[in-house]
Amino acid sequence: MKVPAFAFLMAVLAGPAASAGAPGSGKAWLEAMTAALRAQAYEGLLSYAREDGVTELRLIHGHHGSAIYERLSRLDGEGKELLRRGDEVYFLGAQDESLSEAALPLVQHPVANFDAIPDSYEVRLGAQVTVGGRKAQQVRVDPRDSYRFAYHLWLDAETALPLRLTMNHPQGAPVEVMQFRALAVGEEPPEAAFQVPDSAPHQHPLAPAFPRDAQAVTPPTLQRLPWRLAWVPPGFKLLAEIAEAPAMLRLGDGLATVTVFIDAAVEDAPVALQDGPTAAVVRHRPHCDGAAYQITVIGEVPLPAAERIAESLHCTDAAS
Amino acid sequence: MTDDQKREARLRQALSALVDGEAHELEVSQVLAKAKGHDEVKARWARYQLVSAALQARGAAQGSAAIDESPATEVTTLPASAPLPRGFGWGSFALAASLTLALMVVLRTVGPGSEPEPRLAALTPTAAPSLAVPLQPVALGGERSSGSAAVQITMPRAWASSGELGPGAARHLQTLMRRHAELNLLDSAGSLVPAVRLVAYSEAP
Repeated sequence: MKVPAFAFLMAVLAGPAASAGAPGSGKAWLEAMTAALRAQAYEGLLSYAREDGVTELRLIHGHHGSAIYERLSRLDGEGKELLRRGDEVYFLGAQDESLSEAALPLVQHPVANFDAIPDSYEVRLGAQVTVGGRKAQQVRVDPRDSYRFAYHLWLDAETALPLRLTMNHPQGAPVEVMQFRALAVGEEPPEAAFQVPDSAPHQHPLAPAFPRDAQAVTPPTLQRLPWRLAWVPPGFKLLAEIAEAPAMLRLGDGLATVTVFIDAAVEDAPVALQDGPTAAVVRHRPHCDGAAYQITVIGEVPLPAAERIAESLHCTDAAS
Repeated sequence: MTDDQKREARLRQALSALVDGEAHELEVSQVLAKAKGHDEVKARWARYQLVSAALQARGAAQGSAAIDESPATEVTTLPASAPLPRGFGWGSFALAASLTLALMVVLRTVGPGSEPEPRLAALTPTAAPSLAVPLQPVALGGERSSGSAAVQITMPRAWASSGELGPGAARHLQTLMRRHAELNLLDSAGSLVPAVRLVAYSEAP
């Protein structure tokens, strides 16, 4: 099955970083998917399922000029909505605390970046199947070790949009499933669909205007923290170091991310749990002066990987 | 019939399909571009034409978006083994999606100017359901080269949790997990996965 030519060309024209896959290869399909998700206008109902339940969402994706406008609404439970208007992102309906200005990333780092799969994964073309009466191409993104999850995608043969996406344990069982239940493609949504409600409570502009050409900017180092990590999963890199209390280290391999929170206030007992795709580990680690810190590692990785990262954190006398 | 009325009609069709027990079906429709009178759509067509021109220049044309002022030109004119209908075709395609839950189908009331237009069905659970649509699970991985794909969402915990998580610790952990999810969203440059995780985030860790 050929990669949809339109989407593939969009990927090729998007830049050299997005043209690494040979035509018809799994990588080419992923590049086409990434291009289609950005360039196409679409509206759909989708289900998000994990072991503790299923959530229904509505997605509207369009453009205003060259800017991406997007509205993602949760249709059950709390009326949460995510509104993206170009560089501005709003989280509507959130009653809990949001990120402070100091914690906002100044640049973007590759996260869930399917058009540049790192070497830690193997991309394989799966079976051609029929999904919803539509011909779809399965693409498997399997980890080369047990420190990260696998991703399986079913891409529409015509548009390359993902009809279904699952994240799986290295052993194969799904951790989470995203699946479109209804999808309309091609018509730009009306601008009213992306209107920010004036009276919306708990409206947080999460990301006011971060740089558009983010990948070209040197990752920020807000402050050198007096901590070191002795081990991270192969292929994981330090994405950011955020000095706000609690301090945060951001790690990622291009698809998965891990955030290490370092808090001088030790309040919680050690714990390790896997909440669907997200591992969470709390540990107490002493600094060089003997003072205890609470280390919390959270990320979309298997629990053993998060535990090992937490255990590897150690102090250093001087920031460098 | 105005565009809004047409959208409402499509919405009602989708709702009808859901109520009729077809909620497990994925419905895909390809919309015809209506370039006349829509500058933004025209701009997109222009971009697609550039793509088309580049495609032909490279001698690899497999199909292109040949755009003109005709309102009946498809956004994507690529060959497909199962061509999409011209115009909305709700109900034309079926998908065994398989979610073990009862969905309440309720048309959300939207105030003028404050919410997007209701172009699709809103599925909202209520305490007193009036339109329950139970969906049957089917087996995951049952895809064949022909026939419907199926998925069973039974995801056992791979690793048991260790340690005690009291209410206070749970709230604290929830806050940090949310921060992690927000950072992922902001870093994701528009990728769908982090956004879905954040909006669908489960409050109880």
